[in-house]
Amino acid sequence: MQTTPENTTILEIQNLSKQYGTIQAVRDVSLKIKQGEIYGFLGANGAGKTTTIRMLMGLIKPSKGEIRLFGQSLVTHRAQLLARVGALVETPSAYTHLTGYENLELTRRLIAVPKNRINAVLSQVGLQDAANRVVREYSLGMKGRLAIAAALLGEPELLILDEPTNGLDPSGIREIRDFLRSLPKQGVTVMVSSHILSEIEQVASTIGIISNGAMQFEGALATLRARFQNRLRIEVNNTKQAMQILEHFSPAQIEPNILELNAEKPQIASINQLLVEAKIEVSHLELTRLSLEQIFLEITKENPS
Amino acid sequence: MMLSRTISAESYKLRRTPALLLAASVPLLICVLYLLLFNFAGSYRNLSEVQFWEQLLGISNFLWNTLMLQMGIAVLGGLVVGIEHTENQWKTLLTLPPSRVSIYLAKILVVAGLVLFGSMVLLFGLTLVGLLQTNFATPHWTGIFDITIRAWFTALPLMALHVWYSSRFKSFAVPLGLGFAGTLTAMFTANADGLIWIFVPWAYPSTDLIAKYGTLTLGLSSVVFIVVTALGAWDFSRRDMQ
Repeated sequence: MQTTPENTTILEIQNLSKQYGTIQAVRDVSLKIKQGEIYGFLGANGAGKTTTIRMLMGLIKPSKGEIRLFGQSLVTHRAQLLARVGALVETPSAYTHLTGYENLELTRRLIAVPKNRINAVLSQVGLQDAANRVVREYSLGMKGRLAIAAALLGEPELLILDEPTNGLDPSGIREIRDFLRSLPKQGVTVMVSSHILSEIEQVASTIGIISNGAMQFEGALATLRARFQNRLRIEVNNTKQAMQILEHFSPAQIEPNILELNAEKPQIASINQLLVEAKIEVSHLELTRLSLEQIFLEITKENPS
Repeated sequence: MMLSRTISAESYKLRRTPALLLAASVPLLICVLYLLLFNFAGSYRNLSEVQFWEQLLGISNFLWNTLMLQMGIAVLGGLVVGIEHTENQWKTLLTLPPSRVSIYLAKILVVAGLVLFGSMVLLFGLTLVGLLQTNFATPHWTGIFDITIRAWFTALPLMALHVWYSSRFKSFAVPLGLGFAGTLTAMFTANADGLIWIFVPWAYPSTDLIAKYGTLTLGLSSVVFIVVTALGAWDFSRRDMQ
């Protein structure tokens, strides 16, 4: 494995677009992944994640834009650059008539790495005991682990996983999550796509959100959270009057006696005081922090996929 | 270097598939059929050496050069390429460092290798049948060579064609159907007047055995093979893999 200094940009995509006839599947997507990051690529089904990853791996040609891996153009240095990348695109795949070991031997021949790497990756994903069974006898989770083992065979510096937890049971999802978390310590940068927001939230240090083929946000999770204020929910006996008094906060009536507005903790007391002074009975006050899922929905609601 | 890697991987992935068995079994069956025919069928028994070779090579021209070779290529081409259509394999294979062109060429070379293996089995089988039926007289080497090795060479364009459209269609029925349609068309065009057969590559292995067309068929096979391979590789390397 070649060493890459920290903070080096491993992957940079600029204005990537893909058009199928009149349909714009991906529009001017730009993103940057730095060394040692776990980059969560979030989007609903059909948002453009897989199309972006397919372009990234050279499976489809971009209509426009540039992809640079390790500082070099993917178009001009494809073979050298892909030798430093491991990928799992869409569903885990393997030749089902071959054993797990034979599948890895096949990949090993194509990428020219030493034979001892096969046992190393088999133990890394916990498949040593099933190595000599034909893949058609594997469960979906085992197939997923085999696909990840194949992606790791060449000791990649960048691992790209497209929806790696699809179809896995909760323990399988947890295994993958723990495994992903361990990779940056081994010098592997990870890009993982998912539509399952809670999954990304638990592993990613940086996230990119794509909706309707366009990037809506890119940055640290903390930055994303900071963009969205907490919501204060207030239950009152006179909603109409309360809305007039709190007009400055742009409240929304969500139930007959309940209002909701953006507010931070230090403002709660003064809001309560305003209502009480107007002789409005306040029976409940609750400050809620938006989950990543709610934030995601907020971001994407104006750009439905 | 890259091509040797892809050929090595392509050959390895045929483990536990019926590819080798398919390639060898048809020529073997043909040879067993000959033994039965020349020993038990009335009109084919007690032939002179010259008559025996005339009959053997004549039947082989129909069975192998007109029918089985073409259908065998359709099946083997479909198998070697179709293995990637299952379980999302193209997407995995094409994200690896080897270029698309080297993967495509490896597919053609593996199909050519399998068909050559089958042709060699037929070559040894025909030789053995000849030796047994003629009391170990010198075999008709030219005839055997024409039926097996020259036929293999003139079938190279077919191999390139089958790899091309097998890579385009997921269903195994498509290469098989096209192979069948091509074989039928070839049966009519190979013996028709004029040069209509030059547009039907399925006919080349049998037109090669017609004295006046032998050299033309060899030259045409070389050119069509190179052109179809180049076009197929170009198409494959530019295609979006959905």
